[in-house]
Amino acid sequence: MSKIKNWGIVTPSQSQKIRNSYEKSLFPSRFSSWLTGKAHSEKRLNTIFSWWSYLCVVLAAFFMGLACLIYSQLITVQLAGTLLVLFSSRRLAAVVIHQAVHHRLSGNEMIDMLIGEFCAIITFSQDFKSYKVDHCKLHHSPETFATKSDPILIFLETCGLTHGMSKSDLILGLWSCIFSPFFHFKFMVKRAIHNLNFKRPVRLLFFGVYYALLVFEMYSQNNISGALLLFLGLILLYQISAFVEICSEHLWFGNTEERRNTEYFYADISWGRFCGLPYPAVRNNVPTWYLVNLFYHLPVRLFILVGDLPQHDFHHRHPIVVNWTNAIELRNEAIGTIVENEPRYLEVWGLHNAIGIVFEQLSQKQSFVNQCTINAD
Amino acid sequence: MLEWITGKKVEIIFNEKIFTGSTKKTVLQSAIENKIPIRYNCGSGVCGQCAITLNSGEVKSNNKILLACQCYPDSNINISQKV
Ligand code: FES
Repeated sequence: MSKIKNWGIVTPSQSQKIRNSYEKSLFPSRFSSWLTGKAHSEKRLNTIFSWWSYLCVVLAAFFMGLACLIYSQLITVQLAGTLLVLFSSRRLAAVVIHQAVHHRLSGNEMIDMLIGEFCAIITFSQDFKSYKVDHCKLHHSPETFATKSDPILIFLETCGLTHGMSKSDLILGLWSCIFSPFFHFKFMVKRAIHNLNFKRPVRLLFFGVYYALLVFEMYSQNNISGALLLFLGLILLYQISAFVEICSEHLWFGNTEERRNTEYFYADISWGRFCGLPYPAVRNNVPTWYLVNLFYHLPVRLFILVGDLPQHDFHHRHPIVVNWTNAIELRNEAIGTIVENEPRYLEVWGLHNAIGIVFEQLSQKQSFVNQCTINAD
Repeated sequence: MLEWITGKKVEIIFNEKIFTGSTKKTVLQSAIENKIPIRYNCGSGVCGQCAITLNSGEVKSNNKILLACQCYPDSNINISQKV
């Protein structure tokens, strides 16, 4: 058995067995599908969300989190507010703004741009316009996707995670960044620069008014702990979440030349990243299984692999799907309707496994993508 | 009657495959809905992957290069894309 297989790349049929094993647990099927990011093979559990209800719920969570931080002096309420801000700001950035740059949020270019800019302002993240270029032009292009010109890889390089470092150094680098004030400061300055763009005065005005109001409210409530916790949720934890997520997203530098020139240039270096592990066959392991799900995979799903990120490979194969809120079901359907010549789907269970594979690739000079694919058989 | 909302039906010939589109839908949308294999990626006019050539007919487009995700057919059209 190969080393790579042990890291967690599995075929869709093996993966389906893992997901279906959740039916033996006490978790309801709908919850299991959401938690793992993988739909059951037979039970059809379509999402209850449309794009606008999803957006409304996430925005409501964000402003509720802010309200907890501004108006409450109770530390427990403030902590809940911090988590709500983190939960919602990551969804606004990684799901809402992301769909908007593809014009697939509402489907209307102007509405998507306005919502995208609004969400970018309130989450203090990269402005819609420059993100659209970074994402659509560079990240989605076969010439630059997962190469040193991909903005995500440029960012990883500036964080010190460079191609050719040993895997242990990469892991150390990841942990160092998470705790490094220098990393957080640089990341925050980058976010600030995107927002303080004097060439776009109207956007800048909205940005100024929004943050002036926020600071005024915080100041008038004299809520120092709320302000510190807002900084923790919206800046520090947000940055950790985004950073860890991109460390597991694609097999960076993993594309082969032959694949790059085909329409499936993204397929071998993207995967479904699912949160969970098979339900244990041994009864004694069941309590541990619940603990691992509740204290590892659940927080990952809530705060790191948010929204449709577990099905990110499906997004690269079908980038302009309108019904993206239902990506869990759609991805399973797509596995069954794979077209001729289309490489089959790859699946990884556990965020740590996805990061392990990415770092293994980053530590090598040559692409090992084919090796991965073959070993998953 | 609802043509001003749904658009007028048009016939699209794409790399010799024929399907029905609408004047209110981009060529890319119509192709995807009809399960016609077409090269594209971002869907928002940025990556340039969906560039097409217009062989006959008329399309509405603001770009110099014709992008399937950005252009709307104005009549029956014949288009092609290099594979
Ligand atoms: S799909 Fe990217 S420009 Fe049309």
